[in-house]
Amino acid sequence: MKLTGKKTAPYRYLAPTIILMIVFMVIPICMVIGYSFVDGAVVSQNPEFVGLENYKTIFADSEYIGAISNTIIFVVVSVVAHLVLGMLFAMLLNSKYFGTRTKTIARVVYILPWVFTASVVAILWKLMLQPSGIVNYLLSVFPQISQNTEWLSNRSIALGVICFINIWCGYPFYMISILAGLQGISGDLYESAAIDGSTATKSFLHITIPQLKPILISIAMLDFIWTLQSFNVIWMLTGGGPVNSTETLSIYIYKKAFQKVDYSMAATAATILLVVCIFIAIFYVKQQKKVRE
Amino acid sequence: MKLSTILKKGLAVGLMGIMVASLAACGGKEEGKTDAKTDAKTEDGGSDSKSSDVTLKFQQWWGAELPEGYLDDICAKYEEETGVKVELLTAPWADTKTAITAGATNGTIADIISVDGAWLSEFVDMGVLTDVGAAGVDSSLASDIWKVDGKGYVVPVLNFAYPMYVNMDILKDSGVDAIPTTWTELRDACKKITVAGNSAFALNLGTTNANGIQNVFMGTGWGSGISLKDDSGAYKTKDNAGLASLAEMFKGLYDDGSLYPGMSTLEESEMTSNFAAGNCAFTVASAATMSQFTDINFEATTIPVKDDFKDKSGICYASWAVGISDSCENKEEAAKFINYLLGGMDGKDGSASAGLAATMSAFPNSTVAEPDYSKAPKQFQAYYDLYKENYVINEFIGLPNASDVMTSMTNDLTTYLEGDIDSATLLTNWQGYLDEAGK
Repeated sequence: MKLTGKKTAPYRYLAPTIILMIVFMVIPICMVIGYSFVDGAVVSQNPEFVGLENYKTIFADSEYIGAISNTIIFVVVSVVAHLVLGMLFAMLLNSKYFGTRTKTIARVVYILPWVFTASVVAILWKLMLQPSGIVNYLLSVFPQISQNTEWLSNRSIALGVICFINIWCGYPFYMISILAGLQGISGDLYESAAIDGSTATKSFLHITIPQLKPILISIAMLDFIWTLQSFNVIWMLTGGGPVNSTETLSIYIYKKAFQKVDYSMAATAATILLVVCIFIAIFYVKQQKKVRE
Repeated sequence: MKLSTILKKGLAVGLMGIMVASLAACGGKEEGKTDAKTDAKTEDGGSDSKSSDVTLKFQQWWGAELPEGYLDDICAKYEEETGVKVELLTAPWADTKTAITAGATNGTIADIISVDGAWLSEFVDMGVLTDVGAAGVDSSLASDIWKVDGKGYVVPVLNFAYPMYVNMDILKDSGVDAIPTTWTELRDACKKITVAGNSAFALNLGTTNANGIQNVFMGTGWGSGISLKDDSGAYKTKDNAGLASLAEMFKGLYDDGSLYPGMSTLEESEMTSNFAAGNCAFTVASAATMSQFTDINFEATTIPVKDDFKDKSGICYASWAVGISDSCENKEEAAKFINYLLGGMDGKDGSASAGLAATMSAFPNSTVAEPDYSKAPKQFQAYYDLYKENYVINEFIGLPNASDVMTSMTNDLTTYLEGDIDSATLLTNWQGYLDEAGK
């Protein structure tokens, strides 16, 4: 077979992409997986192969279990709240009761949190949530609710506050996606349902939701993966503290690698996270395939 | 084959040929140039033929904190005098450790690297650093060299002491007549300040960079001669009466509501900016931050000591320090540059070190530097006298896994202050972290 022949043409077209993927994805991922099976990866001249020992150690680490627990709470609460809020705001913007100008202004206002970068979000909320910040100032008119609450420094509420901030900056993505889906649903369906005596709730449950299902599943899957890997906002707001109460898996991995210089354990945690993400990605791809069919 | 195809292929081959030829020509020219230079020097006698071909890479965070171009000027002057080029690789402090670790891994580590005290042991374990004495650093030029197992690996250039800053206006508003000098006076002053509606004492226990345990907590302890170590030099926190009293003093401040709110996520930079904004009465921070406090009426002093303590106070310090990477091919040249930073070309000119110290409100580690602090704030000049009367100490320098240990100690201190564990458990836990790190 000639290298310049017709049969090799597709491979030649694909070659740049394949090379880039191998260099920037496959090799680093394989290296990280490899690190998870050795002790003293990166920092040792002769890392020792330890098999699955790192995996045994990590599952016995209470800090890791705490990070898993925090991550599950953070991801589930964020994704569900994103979905509910996104749906709510999308339906509001799709409603016929508001004029075009009102809708346009509302759309701009609602999407603002998504436009901000993580550092802006973190600085903004850190300033507002300071014990002497504007949130406590506004709440001071209700002394029974708050008295100089340390929103980010109180172990019992810090994770909840982080979830709230993540929800605030993530819901517009859902809103825009669902709004696009809502605008694609034919009005005839609702008219027919109304003629048959369907209530608004029934129309929502039996027309809106089924019509939006492919979009909802897709964005929920994507959001699940993104939230699972969320790092910047948490790191800049609390650094995983106080006393690891907001430490998610991404923070745990970062601390292991760059504070404790334990690249082997960091790679082990990262590999486990990779496996979880791969399962979700497979589910996502299958869902996309189903939609196309 | 069609004519157009032949033309296209011909053009592609031609372009490739031109590119290859250009690259080869560039390489050839450079080679030629170098050869010519070397030849010329050899003809001159060849005394500095090696030096003039050397380029030293210097990884540091100093350039990001010094006035723009200051460090470049030092390097340019050094190049003028020796012909050795020093290429600066500047990153913020927070990124420098990662940059060095990554460089050590992939073989791109700089020749000279700036090292924080908390990284020393890890870098030695990783084999990143070389023995500076063997490389040719003149130990007589440095007051202190950081050692591990008897070998000197890192040479501090500047020392940053950690005074306690006092906002005099808050003290006056709160009816506190004088700066407290003992723990009892401090606690009483903090109570008055809190009652007057001000924030009293800042303790940063955030773990993004867990240095509050070192600078503020242990800084207060070292001031009163309290140590993490026993007489043999081993870390001993369990049943350490001095540490227990120190922990109880901070617990008292916490219970009185005197600690700055949000302490468990408070970072050093936030603490300093809050003090600069006039939001807090007492803050322990680097002397280098003094220039930020332009809008407040403040004093810089040593940290109040335990009531019965009469001896000299230990002052917490951090350093801008340098080491030579083990993979450096020009260790001798790197050592010469470090000697230059400390004592100039002849070992008697401490102007580079003195200039750096005066610019950064720091104290030189050079034995020949005589910094001119006449342009420094009057508070710095007054503190310099206190600095000379006392001594510097930092027991975390050289501690294996120092960042990790400090994070764990910080988390336990937060738990203790919030009342979830007692001081005996706190100190036993700390002993565990220190013992584990020692292994």
